[in-house]
Amino acid sequence: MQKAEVLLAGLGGQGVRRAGDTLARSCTLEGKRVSVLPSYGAEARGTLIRSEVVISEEEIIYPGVLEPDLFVAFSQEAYDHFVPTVQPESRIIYDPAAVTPRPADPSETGQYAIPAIETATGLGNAKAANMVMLGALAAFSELISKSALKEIVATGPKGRSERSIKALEKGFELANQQIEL
Amino acid sequence: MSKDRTFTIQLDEDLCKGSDCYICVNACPKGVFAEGERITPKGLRPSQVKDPDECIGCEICEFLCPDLGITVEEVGGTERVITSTPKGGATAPASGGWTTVQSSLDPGTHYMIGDEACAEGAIAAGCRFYAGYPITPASEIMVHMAKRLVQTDGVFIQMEDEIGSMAAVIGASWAGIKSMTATAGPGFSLMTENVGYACMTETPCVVVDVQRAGPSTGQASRPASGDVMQAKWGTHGGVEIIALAPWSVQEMYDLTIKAFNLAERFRVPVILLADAVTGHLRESFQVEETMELFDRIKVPGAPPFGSDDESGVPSMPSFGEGEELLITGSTHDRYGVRKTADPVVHERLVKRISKKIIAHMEEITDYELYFEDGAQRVVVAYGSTARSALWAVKAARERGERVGMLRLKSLWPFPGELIRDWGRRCEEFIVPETNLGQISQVVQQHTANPVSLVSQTNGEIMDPRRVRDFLMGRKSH
Repeated sequence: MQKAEVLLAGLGGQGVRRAGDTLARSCTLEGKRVSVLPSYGAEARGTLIRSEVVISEEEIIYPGVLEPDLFVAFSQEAYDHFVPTVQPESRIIYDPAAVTPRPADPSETGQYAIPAIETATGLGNAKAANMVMLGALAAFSELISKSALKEIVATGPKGRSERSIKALEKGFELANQQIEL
Repeated sequence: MSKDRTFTIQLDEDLCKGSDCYICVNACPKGVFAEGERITPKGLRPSQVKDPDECIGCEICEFLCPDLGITVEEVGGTERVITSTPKGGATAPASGGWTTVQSSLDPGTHYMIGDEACAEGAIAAGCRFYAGYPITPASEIMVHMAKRLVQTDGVFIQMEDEIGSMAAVIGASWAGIKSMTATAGPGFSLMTENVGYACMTETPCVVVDVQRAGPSTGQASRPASGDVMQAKWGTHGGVEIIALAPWSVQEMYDLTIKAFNLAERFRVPVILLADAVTGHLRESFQVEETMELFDRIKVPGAPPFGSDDESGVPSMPSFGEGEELLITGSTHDRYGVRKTADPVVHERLVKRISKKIIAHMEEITDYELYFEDGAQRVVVAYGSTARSALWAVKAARERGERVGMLRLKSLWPFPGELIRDWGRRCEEFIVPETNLGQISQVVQQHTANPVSLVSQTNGEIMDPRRVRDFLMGRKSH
């Protein structure tokens, strides 16, 4: 890996920024250079929000995402807005509860449905959907290890971090099931 | 304050307002003063020193007399360390200047957002007072300062608005404390009046403007660089100002420290022109073990608003140090006495507070060059836009274009000499800006070469492909 661009996007309140920051902090544990550029609307909640994460072995000059290698879509609006920037060889992870993907050839565009909201709700709190997505991201890519994510998540308040770790594990598992298919 | 010491009390009857005041009569714990019995030709009845033997030398009368009419001195006592008047023989040692101090953050790599790094830079520089009003995208500076100032015995105030914030920062600075505020465009507009007051009263302080897309409330959470000219000309009166433009989290830390050093060194407000990208961006930065800090020069007894020193920067006393201190935004002489109709004093003052900046251009100017070898065209960029620009310049170089880049870390005073110098070596300047063209106009003032503006005002970080396409001669993105 020389450089990878990860775009996480959804609605304000879905934990998109938290997911981006958690991913980036985890990358620093593994000694990688990483930048996070968040962007949100003035209303913060409910508007289109994104977190642009650039992971690199070299100095990061431009800290934004131009052509994401990995796109995590938390909402339909985010999906529709950013899908045109995704290259054919890149991967898209989306939540089928929130996103109806374009009827593109799934094998070519690499679109993976991860029922994050449903899974997190099953674990007791829908807010952990962002962690389910991160777990899936770790399974789908070489960018980050599950253990580094867990190490960062464990630094949070106890109740939340326990729930988040469960969500990470579940996301990782769900993604692996898809990879095996 | 025991009674084996004796004191003389001098009461200047010409200054005393007598029965209109009698503060000394009421304040003296020992009843040394009494109401006057004699009426002066002015029709006043001045206080009288009735019982000087009772005096214990507490100096409350001297301290409280609104007309500076009372002087208490110990008979056979040693000379006081700080004189009450600038004309007297001062004996306190001068202080201030450069020192090397340990960094307040652990040396090594840190991972934060730019706003937090800015606050850490302020704490490292010795800032112990913050007054502000929250505003996106600068609020994180305020939040972090609130937390850090509690840990460092500093003072944090959330003010009623940005006008009050700037005023409080100026007041704190005169109390001897390094102080700062942070805001974004709309708040910066409100602060500009008092930025001028800080210029005129030569008050060191740091104002961080985390620029967002304007005018007005515009796009509150989106980046832009529309306040560059405002930083320079926003306040009325038109004097020189210092403004720095960071491009990374590292520089949010480093340039905040530099801003404090320049403020203290030249007794000026220094503006840090960040933007929503550099404020919210999260990346790692390095902290050195030690750093160089400058503290304002204090020479007891020296005039606080005039200097024969070539630097043009006068000594700065603080309230409570015993100096006679008059501070006014109106034109004043070297002792701070208002001279609102004297043309000579006004011209001398306005020229000196500008010249002290211009004369130190070299010390203030900060820039970096990239791909300068054989550059026929030079991109001039600053702030977060410089990151997009460097990406573009690198891409164009890889495609054989002879293009280089000059990144301005300090915007004001504008380093015109640098542009003139490069203008002789290159053919063209290209200035990408997230505004309608501000620094591009200033670059044009300093060169006969063509200057092209690449403008983007969509509330996003400058698209590096837009700059690259311009450099490659393609149509804009």
